[in-house]
Amino acid sequence: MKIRIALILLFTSISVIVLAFIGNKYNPENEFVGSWDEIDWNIKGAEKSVVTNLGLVQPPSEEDRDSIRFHTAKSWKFRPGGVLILQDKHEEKELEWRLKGRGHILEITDGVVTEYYDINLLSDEKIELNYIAPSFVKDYARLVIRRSS
Amino acid sequence: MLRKYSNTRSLGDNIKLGILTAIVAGMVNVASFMLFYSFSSNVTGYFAILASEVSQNNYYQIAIVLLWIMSFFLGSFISNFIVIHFNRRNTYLAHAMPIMLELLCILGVAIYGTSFYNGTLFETELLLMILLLSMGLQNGLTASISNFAVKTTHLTGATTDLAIVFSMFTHKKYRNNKDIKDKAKLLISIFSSYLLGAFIAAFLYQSLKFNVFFIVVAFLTVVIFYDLSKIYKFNRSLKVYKLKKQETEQQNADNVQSNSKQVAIS
Repeated sequence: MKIRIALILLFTSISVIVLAFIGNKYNPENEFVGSWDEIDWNIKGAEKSVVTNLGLVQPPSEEDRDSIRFHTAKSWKFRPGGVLILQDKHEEKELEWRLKGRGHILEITDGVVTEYYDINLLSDEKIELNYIAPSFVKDYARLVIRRSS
Repeated sequence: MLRKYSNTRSLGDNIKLGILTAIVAGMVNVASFMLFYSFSSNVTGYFAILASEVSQNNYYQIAIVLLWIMSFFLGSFISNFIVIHFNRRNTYLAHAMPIMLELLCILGVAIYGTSFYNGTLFETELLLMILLLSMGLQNGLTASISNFAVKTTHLTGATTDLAIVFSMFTHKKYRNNKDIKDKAKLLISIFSSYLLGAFIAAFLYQSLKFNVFFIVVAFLTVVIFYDLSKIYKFNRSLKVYKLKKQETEQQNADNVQSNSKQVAIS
């Protein structure tokens, strides 16, 4: 019995070490760090809804589109340690950013308002984020940011 | 609740265990979703997510999801391992040890979350792994000692069972079957308790955050000490009974001696 327990523990330890090594090497937090420019913000849900297509409700105007999300900026700077700097024409805001779940959810907060984005694409050059509405609807709006040159 | 094993357990034993552990499961699941944006006992979902991440070559997510699934597996393994190897020595202890381990896991998460948590991805995933281990311990124990009658984190199976039971009630032959009625009562109790636990955690999360897990620890303490108090009372009553019996026997022996002396004198 002792041999069996030892073998089980050995197998478990090796698996945990291998998986932890893979996790450390491919940590998505490292991919986020850097400066990014916002290139697209597109509301998908409202445009595709039946009520807007039937003309019952007017689709949101350009100003309304941005009102869905709280944190807006042209430049996004992700720093290590969870610091996010949003820069717009005239102002600069410092927020906190965190990855949640299995590294598939981006949380940004200023301490008062918290927003969640589902990470659809994460590469060296581009990040695509699906805005998660308060009702947990994921495919509602998409934010695309590109790494600054 | 924890003293008896398999077929010696009554419906009452299973309902008590099912209610308390389902409340715990509901609370832990909702709290983990709200804190970490991932469930702590959705193993079916994680297998589907694993397939999805493999198709997208997301190596990091593949590794993490595999770790989580293994964690749940390990919890169930440890639970049943303890039950089958220590059952003969002390049934209560063999059944209580997995709950104690679960309590330690959740207590660890609560203390770390309230005092040291910085919100990094590594911490999130490690804490989720520990919560999955705890849910595996709980599910493994409840399924093992109740002969798979009580499943508190496996609601897919419980929903299937309940649907089957309700469909059986549509037939005259099964409507008055005591076993089927008992199963329906048990499943409905588990569902209601799970929902109650989920609601409690959802309402308390905003104000308590990680402190919700301390309430979970309190429920698990009740599970552990419920039977312990009965064992203590039983042992104490047994001791008192044995003492009284000894005194009675002593008195009888004294009476017999004094009677024989009197006879000898006369």
